[in-house]
Amino acid sequence: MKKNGPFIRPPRFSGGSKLLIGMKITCLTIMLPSLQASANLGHANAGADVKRLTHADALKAFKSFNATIKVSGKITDNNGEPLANVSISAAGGKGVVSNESGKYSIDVDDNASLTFTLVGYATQEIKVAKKSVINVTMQKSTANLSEVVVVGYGTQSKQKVTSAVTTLKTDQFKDAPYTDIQSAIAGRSAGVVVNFSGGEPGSVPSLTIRGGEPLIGQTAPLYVIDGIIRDQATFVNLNINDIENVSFLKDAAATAVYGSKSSAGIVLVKTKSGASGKPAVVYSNNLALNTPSYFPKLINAYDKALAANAIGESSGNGKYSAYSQGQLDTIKNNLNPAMYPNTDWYGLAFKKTAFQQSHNLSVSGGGNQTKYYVGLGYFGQGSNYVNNSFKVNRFSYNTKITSNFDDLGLSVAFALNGYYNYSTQPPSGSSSIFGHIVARSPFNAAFNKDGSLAGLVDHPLAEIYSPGYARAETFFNDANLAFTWNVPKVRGLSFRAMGDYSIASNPSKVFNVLATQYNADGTIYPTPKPSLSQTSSDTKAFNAEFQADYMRAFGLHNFGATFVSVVRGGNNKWFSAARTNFPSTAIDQMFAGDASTQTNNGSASEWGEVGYVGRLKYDYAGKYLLELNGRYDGSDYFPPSKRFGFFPSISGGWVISSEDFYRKAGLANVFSYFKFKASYGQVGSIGGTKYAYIPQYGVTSQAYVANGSLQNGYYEGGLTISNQNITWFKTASRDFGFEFDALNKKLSGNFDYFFTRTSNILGSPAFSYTEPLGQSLPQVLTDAATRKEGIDFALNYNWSANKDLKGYVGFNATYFNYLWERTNEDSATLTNPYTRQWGNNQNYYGTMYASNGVYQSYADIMNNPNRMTATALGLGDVWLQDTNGDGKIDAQDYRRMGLSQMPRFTFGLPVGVEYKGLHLDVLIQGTGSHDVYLGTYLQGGEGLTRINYEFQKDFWTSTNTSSSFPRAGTNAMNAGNNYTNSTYWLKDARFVRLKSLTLSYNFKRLVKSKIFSDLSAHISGTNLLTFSPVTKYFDPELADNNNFFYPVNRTYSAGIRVGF
Amino acid sequence: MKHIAYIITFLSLGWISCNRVMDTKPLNSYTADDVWNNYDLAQGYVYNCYANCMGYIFSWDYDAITKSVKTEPWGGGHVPEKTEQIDRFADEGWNQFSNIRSVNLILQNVPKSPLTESQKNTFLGEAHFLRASIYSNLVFRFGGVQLVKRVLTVDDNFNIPRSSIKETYDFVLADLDSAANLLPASNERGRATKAAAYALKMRVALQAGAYLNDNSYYTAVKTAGNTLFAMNQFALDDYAHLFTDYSSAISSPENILIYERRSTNTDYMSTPMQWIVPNADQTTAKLTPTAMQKFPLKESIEGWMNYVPTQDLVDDYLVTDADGKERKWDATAYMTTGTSVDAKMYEHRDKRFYASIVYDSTKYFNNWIYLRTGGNVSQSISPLNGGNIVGGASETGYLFGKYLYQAKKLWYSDPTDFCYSVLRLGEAYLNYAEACIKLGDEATAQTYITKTYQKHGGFTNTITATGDDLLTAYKRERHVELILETGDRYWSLLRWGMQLSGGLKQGYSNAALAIPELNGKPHGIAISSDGNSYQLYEVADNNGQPLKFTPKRYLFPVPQGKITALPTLTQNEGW
Repeated sequence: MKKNGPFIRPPRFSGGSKLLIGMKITCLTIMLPSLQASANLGHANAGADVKRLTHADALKAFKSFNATIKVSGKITDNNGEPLANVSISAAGGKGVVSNESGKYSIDVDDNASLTFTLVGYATQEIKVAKKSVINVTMQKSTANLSEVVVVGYGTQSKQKVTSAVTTLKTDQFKDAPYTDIQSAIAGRSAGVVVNFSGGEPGSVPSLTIRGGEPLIGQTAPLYVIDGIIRDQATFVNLNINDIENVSFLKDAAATAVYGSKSSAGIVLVKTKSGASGKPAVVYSNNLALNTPSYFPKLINAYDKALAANAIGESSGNGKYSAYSQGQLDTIKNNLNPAMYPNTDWYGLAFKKTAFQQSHNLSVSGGGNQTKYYVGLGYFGQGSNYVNNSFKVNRFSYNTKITSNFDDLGLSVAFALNGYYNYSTQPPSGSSSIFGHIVARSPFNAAFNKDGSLAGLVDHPLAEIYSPGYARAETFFNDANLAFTWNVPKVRGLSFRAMGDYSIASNPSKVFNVLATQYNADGTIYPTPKPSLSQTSSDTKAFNAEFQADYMRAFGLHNFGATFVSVVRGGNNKWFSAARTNFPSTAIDQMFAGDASTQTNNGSASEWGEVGYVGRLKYDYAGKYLLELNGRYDGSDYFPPSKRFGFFPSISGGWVISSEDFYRKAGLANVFSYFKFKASYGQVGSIGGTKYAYIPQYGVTSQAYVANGSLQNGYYEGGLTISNQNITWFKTASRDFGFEFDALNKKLSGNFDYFFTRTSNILGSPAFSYTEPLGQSLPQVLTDAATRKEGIDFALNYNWSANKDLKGYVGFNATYFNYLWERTNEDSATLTNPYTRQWGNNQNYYGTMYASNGVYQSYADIMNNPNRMTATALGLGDVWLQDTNGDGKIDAQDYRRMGLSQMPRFTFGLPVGVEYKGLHLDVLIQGTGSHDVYLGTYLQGGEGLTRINYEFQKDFWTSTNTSSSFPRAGTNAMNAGNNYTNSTYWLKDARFVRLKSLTLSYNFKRLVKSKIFSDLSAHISGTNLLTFSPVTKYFDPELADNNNFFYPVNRTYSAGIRVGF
Repeated sequence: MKHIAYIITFLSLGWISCNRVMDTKPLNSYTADDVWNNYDLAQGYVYNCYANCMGYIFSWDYDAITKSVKTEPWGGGHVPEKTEQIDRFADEGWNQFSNIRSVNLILQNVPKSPLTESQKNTFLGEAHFLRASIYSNLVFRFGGVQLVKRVLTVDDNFNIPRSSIKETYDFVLADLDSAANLLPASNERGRATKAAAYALKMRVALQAGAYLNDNSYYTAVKTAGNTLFAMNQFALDDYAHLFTDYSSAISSPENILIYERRSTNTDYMSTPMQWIVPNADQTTAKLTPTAMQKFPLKESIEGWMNYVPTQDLVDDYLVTDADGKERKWDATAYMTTGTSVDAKMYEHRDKRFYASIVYDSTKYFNNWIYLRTGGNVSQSISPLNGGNIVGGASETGYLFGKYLYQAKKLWYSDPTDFCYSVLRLGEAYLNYAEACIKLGDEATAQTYITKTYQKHGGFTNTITATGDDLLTAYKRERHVELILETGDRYWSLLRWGMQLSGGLKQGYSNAALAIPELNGKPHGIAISSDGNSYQLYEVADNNGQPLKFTPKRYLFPVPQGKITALPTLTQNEGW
């Protein structure tokens, strides 16, 4: 028998005693058929595998109705080690837990089934069949179909899921040195796209589910943690070790229960709860070193001097216009460092390694009545700034207590959790610091002779060594109380009431000042006086939910219904204050600033939402599955008459492998399990401006100076519309897919095709000419529409050579693209088919000239049209195409070019091998082709100040015709011909990356002590290898195309995990 | 069925008053009633209109469209316009409807508001004044435009045709008449007054007279001028006071209307200062070893060089020759007696030269700067061949000193105060003089030109020229008086061209009057490294092209996109 879903209770002969009373006075043989019927009824819940009871079975069953026996035994893992804390439950809710020597004992009906469950192991169900000793060997679980997946407002057995949901367990990467859960997700799940941009401490990659709906500005998914809608910050501050699993809800069938905010998909997190048993204490840590993965080498003084001469030469100033041969020799041999320094700005500012650590402690346990879980986490990340002036620290706690009142059928769960996040960095910010590291010339000296910081504009070391700081803190605390009542005497009915209150506080403080710099004569180099600004922002939010679940089986017909009502609300208050002209850096408090410069500001906002959720489920024998979901959702974004919208979905599944014909055809030998599924639904996303229905006048503080003092200004806000027909963007989502098991369940996989169409797009009324109105027309529902289409799939293969050697290989991939089916562009824009959006595939970088590379012969220059302003084209200049063939090169030659910077194809390849206690987990991750445009600092277009990298030496000369750059020059040459927007500067940033590798060893095999439940050590790393055509210029997961960003880290780490 | 009952009971618990949580409201905005029923809020609304509209009437960098100002490689605009590389797709600022709407809202709401009569009159007068400033800007650029005289609603018809150029000018002048009637004689500094309305009317009517070839507008200039001068509120001031120091600028008796910025929310980057200062430092990255040694910089110079004056502008600052007569620099005795370039051409100049132009070997902030060959702010291009500075140094051998406050080191993000002159008496005198010339009253014209010539230029002689000589003297006077203010040089050149070709109605394109001052290349000066000899040379603009002006550019094109959107809009001739 397969494990039952959470709503399908194990067979329970609760009607048995009544039956018996009747039977006592009735001939046994006459009763048999009816008994059979009722036995069938009981077993029918268990699904399709129920055997038809024979008369003999029925007899046996009848005889054993009252027989209770004591069953005992020992539970071990497949190494023969005893397993504690395995919960053993029998039908009817009885349950015990194995002790530390793996032993248990339980009183049950002698024909009952015992279910053995332990997190991380495959659940087993064994029929007692009058045996009094049942020894069990638990098998470590790998992904299998008996998993329960967490869906919105409930759980569902994976077998019966008809929507597109993927659940990810944290086990595979809990020892890798990921900085946060969102980073850890990359490459693990089909349909989940994670894009990194740089590696600044505390930075978080972006996550989309199937790419989101960027054409309507909805890319980020909705985050739901333990049933409550949260923001991304709360998600990324979760301790990975406190997370039980993360589900990704990808289609409307899964997300419709979240209604108006769910068109970009949902990330659903379930945190850990206590398991009954002796207190289990687990401590783990991870000590890591971060080193930048790629940062291109900056140019040295000699090469820069050569480039200066080359630029001079192409500008017609002769060969040695900037540096004479003698000067070049001096520079090359560093003979006069005082006059010609050769400063390695990157080396001075950035050290090789930065330290990162995490420590996690959890305690869990409890009896049948009360269970608890307490998780504590610390994460600290330093930076590669030479003085480590950028640090991030995170503390998190997660506590949960669950009490069961079995007599009442009531369980009460109370949870308190939260985090404190602290980050401090130089006030200049890393994009500015890196911009200055890149832009400072090697000919600038960093230090004076006495070692003090030289007087220099935008001195990156003066920024890094600043006695000031930019600090941001977040305190988040959340309390949650939930009552679940399994109504006694009413089978399948349960109620849940939940209240949640959270308080988040975000103080920040920026003390802006540079480190003191000195002129060569020892006098202080003048820089702006210190300034201080502080902000404070407090957010309070509440959630209240009432939920009723009812499920019941009638024969092979299984029904389930869920109704939920949700109320959410909250408010935010903030204020800020600032002063400048601090006389000294000794005191960094507000009072010490110049009172005449003081400014302050502040405001508040509030919100409220209501939702009513309904779900109906039906399946026949677990073979034909049907589910209806819907949410009637209300938001204060819209006028009272338009607040509510209904978001329905329908999905169905067909487990074809359960069909007789399937088995008869022998298909079961190939695909032991095969399910088709399809879904359709409508979900929403909130666009436009809040309160667009209320006429408002906005405030511009310090708008105008009258009589010498600044005055506030007021302006007319957006126009409002009389019929107030504004509402959600509506996304209709379709998903078709299949799931299968094959090769004796070693291979499992799923495939989904998805198609979404978004309409109800708010915009200006189409095509009408309204300019003299002087305001945008109020937003109305337009007939613009977007589409998204794509596939995602995952395959997983588990193998085991023998008891000691086994492993898995997985592959998951996502591909999607967007289209503007219809737009709301004005008629002037629509006339140009090459630049309008209407009907256009969105996988392009931008509109620009096409380039044929650089001119290699004068014939190319003479025989092709040039830009009118390019009067002195030479060999090695960028050759722009006359795309429309009209003999001139102008804006009319612009076409959509390149590929979108956001990759459309992403994949992940997780691999694991286990040999005895040794465990290796590897993740390879990558993207398909996508383009990045080289920034102006990489092009070198503004002359010498933009020749900053060593790779920029590779400019065109008559002896270097296959160069990566056009001939050296400046923007002034040919009116910027070489640096105007063209495909010449587009680079394909596809990549394959060894994202993480973890090797762990479990010492429990060596240490026979019973004290430890876990004793393992691991070494791991992230971003260890990268293959990409652009690593010459930047890390493919870049944040800025001028390299003005903190580079992506390569991390090496080691850690231990100890459990008691 | 009792299960259903349970569920219903349970859910109704959850339902209770749920919807009330959605009764939220914006906590950061006012309603229309709040604003128009409250004097302070209504006044704040008017302030906001000033903030949005003032830019149209001072346009400090619009003179870069002429030969007087060179746009530098590091940035700066107007290159496509001055080299006439624009076509009918160019948009020179057609869409001002948002600002027009803002001002019309005052006209619509103030009459109904519970304010005193004088409060209402002030606001209404300001609204008329601001609307006139927006439309004057539009009519200068495009000729006739779409006139929106009231607040349009969502349901109105937006297919508004272009009014004729005469209707547009008349609309602006009528607004200024209303403004002059309604506005108080004095107002807060930075806000319009009766005098401001008259002064703007003089500027607009003068342009109208040329484009419409109608002397009645010149008469209107004189009438407005007579009223303005009779008010006796203003007096000419020392020219440097107006443009080189904040505190003297805001308190100058010459200013009729200023646009003021405060350091509380303004930094150097938000003022012209950042864009007229070069970029140099005592390092080999920016200077040649020779420059570092011969002309060391005491402190770095941190501008982002966008605009520099040309020799063509410098030529118009007259020199008081050894005989006490004013002459062009190359016609003076100093050319033969002077040994250094400085003695030959930079001494005894018009006082405005020293307030407006920074030349070789001048004190500049805390440095002595040298624009000569090998100098510390010289371009590396030939024939200047100075430091390593590629884009951060002047390509003409000059820098602007006008609108530059040198009291504090320039650093882009440092706060600074600033004061733009929007309307001032000096301009009003010259407008008056031009109207007099057009009306044949040369004697009065001489009197008024002499006012700025003596007070600002520091000359002792009076203007006595007549006929064409008077016109030449007048144009030169206006050039040096108003450079970098309100785009005056460009609009004046167009106006003078129009006056010659008899106005727009004569068919400007047939007149084929290509204004010579807007064609060809401007000039720079290269001074030898010893400072004793010089060479004048032509500089092309950033796109390598010479300046070009064809008669179609008396008006800018109506952006083609606007015509596509509303086909009844007509295009200006020639585009």
